[in-house]
Amino acid sequence: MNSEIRMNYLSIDVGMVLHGLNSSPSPYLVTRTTGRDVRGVIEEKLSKVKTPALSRIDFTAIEVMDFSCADEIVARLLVRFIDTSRPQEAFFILSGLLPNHQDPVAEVLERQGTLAVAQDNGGSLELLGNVSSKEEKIWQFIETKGIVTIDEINSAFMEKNDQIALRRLIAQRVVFQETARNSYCSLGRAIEGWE
Amino acid sequence: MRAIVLPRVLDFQTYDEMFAEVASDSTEAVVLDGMNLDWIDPNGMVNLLAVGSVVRDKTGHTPRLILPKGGEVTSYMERMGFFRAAREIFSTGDLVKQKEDGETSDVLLEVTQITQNSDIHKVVDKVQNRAGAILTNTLDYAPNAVVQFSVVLSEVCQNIIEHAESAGWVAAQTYNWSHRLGRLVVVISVTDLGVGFRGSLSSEHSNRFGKNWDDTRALEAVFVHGLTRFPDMGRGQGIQQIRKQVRKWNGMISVRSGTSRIIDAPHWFESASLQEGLPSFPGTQINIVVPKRIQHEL
Repeated sequence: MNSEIRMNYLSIDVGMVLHGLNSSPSPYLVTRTTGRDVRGVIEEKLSKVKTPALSRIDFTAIEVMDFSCADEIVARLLVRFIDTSRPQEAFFILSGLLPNHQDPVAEVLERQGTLAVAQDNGGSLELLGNVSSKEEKIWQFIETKGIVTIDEINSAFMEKNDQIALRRLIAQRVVFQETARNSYCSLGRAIEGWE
Repeated sequence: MRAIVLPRVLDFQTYDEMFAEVASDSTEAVVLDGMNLDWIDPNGMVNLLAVGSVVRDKTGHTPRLILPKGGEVTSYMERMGFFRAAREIFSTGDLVKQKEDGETSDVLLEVTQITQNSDIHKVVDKVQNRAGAILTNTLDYAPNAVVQFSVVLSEVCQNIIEHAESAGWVAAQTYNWSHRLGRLVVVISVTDLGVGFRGSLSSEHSNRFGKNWDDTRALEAVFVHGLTRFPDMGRGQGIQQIRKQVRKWNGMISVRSGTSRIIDAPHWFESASLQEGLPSFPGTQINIVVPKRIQHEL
């Protein structure tokens, strides 16, 4: 538990999950059925974690990911927890994405209209999905500062469209809103308590 | 007994001739005469299996297959795993005795039956192990092309399980198209005997097309517009993504279903983008041809 930002952490090695499913002990994440099974395991693991949860989904061990699996494991997982009827409060960071994963992930995020945060091997975070320049700017602002008060945001981004962009970032759960402190926290800051 | 004489060359441009022969409602027993077969590619093999299955189910008799005179073609069919796949379809009298583990190093992907999810995993396992050297050393693709190749195969095989509701076959091999194209190519062929695109989409989409709903509209709905019978977002992207990747490779993809065929033809392959009024045949047949990479084309 991070003392500054109250998050509960869960790291999921997709390669290990795949290995644990008897049907497919290989580094190849293919077919919708397999993707659905992997997502099921991830959701089950998440359900045992106290909320709010921050989960790092690690694809390092995955050599091949097809579009069906990207849709099930990335897009549908995120959509389920973005939805207001989500089973619990959870945020996600994708890590270990190889160049070969980029196309399937980008495609399914765009198709589902979803944003995602990815962490590269150096630790830098990147916003994925169909993101507007305004959304990217606000997300970068919060990412750079770590924690931003509502007043700071309001004075830095005063236009009406800025507020729409901010609301989308919050709704897409690529920034963490701390209502008790009237502030917004970047997932980069949230993950610091973990590392 | 009715004899169906196979063409000398059985590939993606001639298998319609076989389909035409079995399109009738005849229940007479059939012998498929391949005596003069000089050349067969993955399209020829998987669609010969499809024809045999249709004949068997329609007539109630296991069709007989007469093998080519030339031992070279038969030997090649054996290496491609055709006879293992053909055991349940053709009478065994003329079939070559197949070694149980008859996989050979020069085959990219033997004729493989796809009935369940695990079959697709096996296909990807095989291709990941074998295709890397062929794609990079022989066809001059970047090392990561093998992953894209596996993804294409995975998506194209899932089409069988998710949409056809029936078994199917896949096969892939490299060829030297010295006369047709002046370079090497990879040919991937997938066929199934399922409900076809029209059957798959009818319950969800036929109403909006009214009287115009036919095989062509169904093909266009999937191939061009990415529609699927599943109402949720995220579905129907398989064929779209395959098209996109094949186009990046300057390749050709054709999809035949029912009585129509739609083709994404690159500059090197002259063809109408749509063929209608073909002999009716169950299921869906997909053909992908990926040529050797040439720098100035990319």
